[in-house]
This record gives sequence, structure tokens and C-alpha cells, in this order.
Amino acid sequence: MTAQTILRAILVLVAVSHVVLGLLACLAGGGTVTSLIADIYGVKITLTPQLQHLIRIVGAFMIAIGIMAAFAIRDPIKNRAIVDGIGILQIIRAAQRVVFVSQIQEAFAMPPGRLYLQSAFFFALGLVLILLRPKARA
Amino acid sequence: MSRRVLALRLALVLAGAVPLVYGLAALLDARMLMNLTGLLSGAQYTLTPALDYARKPLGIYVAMFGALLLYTIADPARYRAVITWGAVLLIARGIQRLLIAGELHELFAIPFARNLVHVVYLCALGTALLLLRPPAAAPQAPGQWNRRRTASTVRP
Repeated sequence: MTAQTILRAILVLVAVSHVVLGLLACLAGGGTVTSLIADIYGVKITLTPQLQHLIRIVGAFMIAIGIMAAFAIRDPIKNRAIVDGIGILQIIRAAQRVVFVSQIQEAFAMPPGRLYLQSAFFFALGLVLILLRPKARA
Repeated sequence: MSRRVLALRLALVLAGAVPLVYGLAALLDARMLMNLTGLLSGAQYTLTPALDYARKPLGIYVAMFGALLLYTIADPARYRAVITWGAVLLIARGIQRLLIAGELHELFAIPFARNLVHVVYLCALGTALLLLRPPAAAPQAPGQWNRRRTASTVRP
């Protein structure tokens, strides 16, 4: 299996997960969003109308990132910048979870073990994307 | 550099810089975000602990969107697909703001007139990007990316 195949497989994971979660965030009702967040992230939230609006905006940007990842699957060399961007995004998201661990626990009652596990997963994902990205042209 | 390319690059600076600044403000400082939102949209809201955390992932996504649009300035022909998608997202955001104007007014006290300015701005910027983006390159056989790029970037 070549590095480019692995890179494409990871980009498929990124694209599908972002588009599906983004669509759910944008279109699902309040009850569905609350239960999905509890199932996926282990987070308990009280969904105020303002928070739901913010989640919808995050969802729109997640769809955008997912579709950009799809561009990169088609041509990773041409779209190297997208691979870089998504890799950096995953690493920053992972770092952010660790830095704001106490705030996340306080606001969402999220178990710390699950939080660190998710952070490690997203950090590894970002790192692999950066390591497997196509070489820059001379 | 032709006037069209210059206009496209200026539009990309505008389209990319605003989300980048807004995203970084959301990521780094709640007070800065509230001031910026108040200034641009006239929005008023109370930052609950959940809302205060949710601004951070939102900030990362918005900032990355802006950074990618700014990156396309270096080679708009190569990143035509990114420009197209950025334009579509801007127009979609404009239409969305128009459709949920009532919700925005009710939840965040955003005045209808101010919201309409945002709708026009987003749709106009997205349309400008669509009109100014480089023409699509002719289809090439797989593995001939370098030749296509050379052909699409060398312009009078």
C-alpha cells in the first residue's frame, strides 16, 4: 500500500465524517443533536437556541472542510494546501481540547479519559496527514 | 498581471481576511469576539459556559476557511476549485442569513437592516469570486497535471 493510498483513505475518512456530522449539525432537530453529541462525544449539553444556532454555523463550515477534503482525494498533489490545512486544523483542535480540558469538563461534564482519547486520535490523524502529504515541487 | 487577476486577488483578500480575523478572535478572546460581533452585526447575547466553549471550534473552522482562501491568492488557477467552493459557501451563507433573519433578530437582536447589508455583502462577494475566477482548464489525461498547470497559469 503506497503512502498516497493511505493518505487518500484518511482523506475519505475526514471528508465523510465532516460532511455527515456537518449535515446533522445543520439539519437535525434539538433533541437529535443533543443525543448525537452525547453518543459521539460523551458530552451532556443543555441546548439553548443560541447554542443550537452556533452549532449550525459550525456544521456549515464542517461541510465546507469535508468537500475540500474531497477535492484533495481527487488530486492530493494539486491540492497539497488543503491537506496541510486539514492536518493543521486537526492538530490545533486536539491541542485545544487538552488546553481547555477543565473548561470542557465544567461546561459539558465530559469524562477526562474520553477527552484525552479523542485528543490523541485527532492529533495522530493530523500528524499522519502532514507526514503523508505529497512533496512540494522544486 | 491583468486587471481581472488583480480584481480576483483583491476579492480573495477581502473574502479570506475577514473570516481569518473573525475566526482568530473567536478562538482567542471572548471579549474581542463579542466586540467584533457587536460592531459588525449589532448582535447582543450572553456568553454561557457552553457558548463560550463552542466559539473555539467554530473559530478554528472559520479561520481555516479564511486562511485557505488567502492561500489561493498565490496561484488562483491551481486552486480554482477552492475559489469556487469558497464562493458557493459565501453565497449559501448570504441566503441562509436571509432565510433566518427572524431567528437572528429574535436570538441575537440583530437589526433586519443590518442583516440585509450582510446578505448583500456575502452574495456580492461570492458572485464576484465566481465571475472573476480563472476559466476551467481543458480536461487532461491522468498524470499530466504539470502540463495542465503550466498551460493554465501562463496568461497574457
